[in-house]
Amino acid sequence: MNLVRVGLASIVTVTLLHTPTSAGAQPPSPNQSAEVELALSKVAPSLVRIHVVTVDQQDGREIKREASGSGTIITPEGHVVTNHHVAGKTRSIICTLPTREEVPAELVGTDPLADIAVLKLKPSKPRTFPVAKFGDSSTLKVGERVLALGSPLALSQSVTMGIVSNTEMIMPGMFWPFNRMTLDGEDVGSIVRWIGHDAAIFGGNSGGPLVNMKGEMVGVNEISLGLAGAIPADLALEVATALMKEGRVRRGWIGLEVQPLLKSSGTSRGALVGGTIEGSPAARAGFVSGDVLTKLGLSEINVRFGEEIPLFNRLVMRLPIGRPVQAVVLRNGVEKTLTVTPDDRENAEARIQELVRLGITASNVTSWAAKELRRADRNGVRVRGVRPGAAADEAKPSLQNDDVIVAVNESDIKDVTSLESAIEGLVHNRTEPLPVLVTFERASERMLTVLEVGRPGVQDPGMEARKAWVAVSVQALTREIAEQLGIPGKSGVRVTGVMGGSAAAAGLKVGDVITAIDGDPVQATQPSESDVFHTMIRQYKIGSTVTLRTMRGKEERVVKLTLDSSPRLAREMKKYEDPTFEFRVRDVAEADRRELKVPAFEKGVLVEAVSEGGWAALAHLGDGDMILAVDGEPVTDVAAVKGKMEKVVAAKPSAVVLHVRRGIRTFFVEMETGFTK
Amino acid sequence: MVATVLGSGARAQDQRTALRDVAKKWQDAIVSVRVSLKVRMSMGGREVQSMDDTLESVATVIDPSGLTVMSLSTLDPGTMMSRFMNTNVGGADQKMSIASEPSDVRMRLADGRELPATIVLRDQDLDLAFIRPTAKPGAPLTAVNLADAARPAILDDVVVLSRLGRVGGWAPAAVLYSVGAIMEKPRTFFVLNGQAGTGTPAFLANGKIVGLLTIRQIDPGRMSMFGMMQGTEGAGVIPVILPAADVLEIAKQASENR
Repeated sequence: MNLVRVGLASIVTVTLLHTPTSAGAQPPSPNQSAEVELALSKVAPSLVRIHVVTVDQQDGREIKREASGSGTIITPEGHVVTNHHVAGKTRSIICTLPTREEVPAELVGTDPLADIAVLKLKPSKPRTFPVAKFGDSSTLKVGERVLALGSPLALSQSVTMGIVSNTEMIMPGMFWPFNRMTLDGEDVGSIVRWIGHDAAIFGGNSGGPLVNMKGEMVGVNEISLGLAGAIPADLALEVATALMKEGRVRRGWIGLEVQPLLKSSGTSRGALVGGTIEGSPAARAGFVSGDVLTKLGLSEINVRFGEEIPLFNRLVMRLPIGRPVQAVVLRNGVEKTLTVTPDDRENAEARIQELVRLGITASNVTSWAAKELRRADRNGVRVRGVRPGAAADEAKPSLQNDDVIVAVNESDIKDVTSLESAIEGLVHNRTEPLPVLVTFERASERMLTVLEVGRPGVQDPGMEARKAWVAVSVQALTREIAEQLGIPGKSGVRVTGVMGGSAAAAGLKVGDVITAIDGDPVQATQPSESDVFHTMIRQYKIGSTVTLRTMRGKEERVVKLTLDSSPRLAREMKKYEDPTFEFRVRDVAEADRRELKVPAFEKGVLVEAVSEGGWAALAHLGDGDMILAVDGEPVTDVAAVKGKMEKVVAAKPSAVVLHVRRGIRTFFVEMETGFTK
Repeated sequence: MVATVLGSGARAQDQRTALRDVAKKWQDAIVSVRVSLKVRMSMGGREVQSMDDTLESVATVIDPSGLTVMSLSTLDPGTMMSRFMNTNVGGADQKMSIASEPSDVRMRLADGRELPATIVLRDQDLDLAFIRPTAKPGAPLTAVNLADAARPAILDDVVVLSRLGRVGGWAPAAVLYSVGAIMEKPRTFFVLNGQAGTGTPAFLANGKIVGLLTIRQIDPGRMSMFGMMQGTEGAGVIPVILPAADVLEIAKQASENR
């Protein structure tokens, strides 16, 4: 049983991304090929590949990632229907048309409950687009042939064929607790009965059309449970129309929890009321656990199986908001009529935002959240993540997930916007960290803490201790090497590189063997003892003179040299961390040039770190890359990069181009900026 | 420990009392240090993961002005980890690197005061980091005297002073060890019988300081498949006591870096 659970969990999770379904149907006959070709000709021109930069939150920080999905153009103006999980939470969207044109797009609206989103193509010049036609998904029959179109694995547009396997597929209850597909807190299966089919789909097919042989879109591919699952077109069209009209889907909500009739109940009609949400319209109307709902408005209610739950939920959600509706229940065998007035249903979760100064991710308190957190109202800001080491984490006590910030310096906080402006107002033009008194509610307690807002980021890591140094690299003279060099019994180190300084001036050369310093033997005979020489040197003061006993071939020599100061390490170079694109560069140290074999004439800065989930990481800038130019202007040090990037932020272009050296190659990196004009 | 067992009961008791006095005298010089780190992991030059982390370790105040020394490997564990992890990998595209950058350092004194601190000097060679309170403390701090040092002999008892962490209520701690080895090459290090924490001082029963516990790390070369079974030695790492005079020598540079 455990094996089955785990298997399904991974399938459900992975399927939204990468998992192939089972093999498709047999190869079509010539007649079938013609039919397929005809169907394809009606839909393929409106198929788009969607490349997005999605945003997610992790440990109190916003993380950006590249992702890819599919979509279908449904209006001549360029509206595209796809999945919410493809494009619902993005910072940039680019659609690739079948003509291979890349057209930017913006999000019109998104609905996590149905997993449907609508985009609008934004071509540089106004134009019309080829449109796919919605079919009637309610007339689909099991066994009917269907085509799955999309961009599997982010490859070019593709098609697979199969048959409809199931017209009312739900997540099987036996796989509890993994039988729910939740997006942003919404249980998609509560209103969706998927069209199950065996046309192979892969990650990247998400949002692509499921097409009948008439060339009509009958579904939007979404999941795989082994079988692929598509959201029926009738639901997709209803949701897409609402999103295009208002940017959101208005749904009725009564807060009634129903379940299939119990097998032991002996009742054959109605739906069992499991309970009501506290304070909901259903609770106010007088529904109680154990009621059997038989009629809602004009509709007879029958929920005997799990497959019928989504139909009931959709019925409720279509009820007119704010208009009383009559419901008939059986209570202890007696019919009772109740009047319930649906509320406007709110999304389960509010948008989560990053508040960098506090080091948290946070959201407004939705009605659902207020109920779950048992709050009397929706005022305040709900903490969704805390960044380790940031102000909220370092506060005593630290803020935690699900704390609700209700006041800052005793001024009430209503929502994320008011919190942001309160903090900005306090720290505006300040350079020193500012202690801020924060009132927050945790469960039933009202608590205080102090956040030090405006704490500095990465601080100066401290200078490296300067030591006496000889500018040579060495290896231990093992017994075996000594014998082969014809100097058996000698111990010491062999010079493997001369980097200048007094070592070069004193005439040390590669191949010289250093056997003693001021008469003290350099006792290194094992490879791991190569640091003996430099360690001995480090015991001296900088600027002191030492006498090295050396051998060049079999000739003994004496070399006097004045000890240099150890060079500045790479770590001690000046740095610049770009907060917008999230990369850090530093000036190039001499050691870097040696290691990277960068010629002295080539100027630039070295990339020291690229934050995962930032714009620079998305552009595939890597640690160790050397940035030579920004937008065509050469950069010689971190000050130049800082100045250039500040200009970029002020100008807000859609992309920045870096000229980069990586090893022996140079190339250009085009970095998206996320700025919208 | 061996010496304690072999010694006569009374002499051992006297020595224990002396060591207890040493611990009592210097316990306030042992402070906790809380470091917030940005940890970045890269493979083949590409960051694969980054996270923020917080570590708590122990350090020793060596000057009444607040100059404090600790083990660099507790302040910057990434460098040591990188060397260890790259032991068995092949080409440049497989090279792992872990960088840890302190973003906030705070000293917690014996009396519970918390002082923001700044890193003033690092010595990778000797695994030393020197920190100092960002603002001058109101009163001089208890500080161990590195100049009053002595060299132990093999099997001498030493008491290592430490401080428990948050769970232990930051209580002062003392652990008795004996000197198990004395390295002379490439420089003098004392090695204890048993594992001790770093950043803490070791004293002889006569009250003289031996040095500071740090980590000595060398390139272990290509580790054998069973290298881990050799313990830290297999990874090229060994905890050592760095003689107090060596700490003092570097501390002079830290004092100059005010």
